[in-house]
Amino acid sequence: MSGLSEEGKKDVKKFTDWVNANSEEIPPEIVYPPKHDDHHGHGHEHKEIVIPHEETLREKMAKREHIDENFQEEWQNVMQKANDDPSSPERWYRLASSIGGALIVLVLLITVANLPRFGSPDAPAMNEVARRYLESGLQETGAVNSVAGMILDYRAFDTLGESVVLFTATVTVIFLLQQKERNHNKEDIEAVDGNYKGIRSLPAKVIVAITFPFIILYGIYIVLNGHLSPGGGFSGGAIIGAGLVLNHLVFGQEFSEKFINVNKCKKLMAGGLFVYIALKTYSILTGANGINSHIPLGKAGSIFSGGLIFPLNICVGVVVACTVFSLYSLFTDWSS
Amino acid sequence: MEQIRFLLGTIFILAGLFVFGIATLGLFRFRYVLNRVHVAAKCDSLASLLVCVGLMFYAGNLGSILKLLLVVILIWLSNPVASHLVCKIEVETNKEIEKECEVER
Repeated sequence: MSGLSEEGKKDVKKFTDWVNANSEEIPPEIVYPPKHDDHHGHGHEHKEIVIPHEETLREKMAKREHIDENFQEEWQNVMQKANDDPSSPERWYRLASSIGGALIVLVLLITVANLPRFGSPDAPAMNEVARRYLESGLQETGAVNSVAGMILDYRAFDTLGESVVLFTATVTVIFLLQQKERNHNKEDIEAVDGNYKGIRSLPAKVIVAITFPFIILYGIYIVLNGHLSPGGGFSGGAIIGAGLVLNHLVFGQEFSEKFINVNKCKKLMAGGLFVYIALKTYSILTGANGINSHIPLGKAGSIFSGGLIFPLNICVGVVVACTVFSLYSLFTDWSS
Repeated sequence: MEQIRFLLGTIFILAGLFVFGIATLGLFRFRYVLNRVHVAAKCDSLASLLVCVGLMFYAGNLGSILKLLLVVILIWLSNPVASHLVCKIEVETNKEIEKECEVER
């Protein structure tokens, strides 16, 4: 402490005050003004202001169990109806689904039985495509990491499909949850869940406050270094998304929304996909028509190399990070 | 010199594996959550430190040693907090916690 400047001391004071304010003590129930026994027979002369204490986890669980019991009863009624009525669509649905499942299992077993032996030279995986990727991948894509060259250059269209799958999953969850919010009374839901205020644990808060910047930094490093070392958009994006989820879990919704929320995620994902499609459309159109695309491949091994792989990796990383975070926060935040 | 280095590294790694073995044994033998968390938290922290120190002797160059040091710091920061949170959840949600141990309210 003694070596710090005046401003540094102020920052440390601010941090300790903040930690103390968010410590794990639960404030007791305060009733104002205090009750007096002699006022008992005189009716209500003054209004009582009750400041409720924060709900403990156990009380929340008790409420939740009640809701789950109601849901289970309803579900049992539906299933009972299906069992009593022989012509109900539920029965046909069950029959059709079991037959369909058995057929899929049969097809998969036949396919596995007909596969070539592992490592045999006749296997389709040993054809000239794989050899070409390994032999001339560095020259043609400029990426030292041949996996990045494969998924973001030779097979970039496939990777676009994967990113769109993630985007579609998020959009579907948004639609489904909006429907749920419309059907139920929103106040009922908020009474149970409330606005998530973060974990009531001092050690977790301090440790995450220290490590959170390094987690995000490491994720960014893996995304940017994707064409030079193992990693890339998918793994780096997953690390960034997990870091954001950790931040939300520990510090709560209000603090987390200073960085990012679901609406920003939606825009970032759509933007990332749009940039990906635009860049790759240009490269495919010029390449297919034999026009020079003027994208420099750079010196292999330096950070600005690999042509389009570097920006495409960033796009994929943004999409993956936003998917991980928004799929988490869609199920916890009710205000979005 | 080389032989001494490898001998020291091997001793540290074997000690780490011994502690990992004890942790695994305890994890399967104990019945209650808090006992198992205790074993997992303490033994894993010590064992990962020992294994990383052994690997530092093997590695030799400064870059690898610093990277292994970072691994140790990360494990020592995250492992105790994770175990603490598991214990906290157990104490907060188990309705019959008094049967298992004394709890300060």
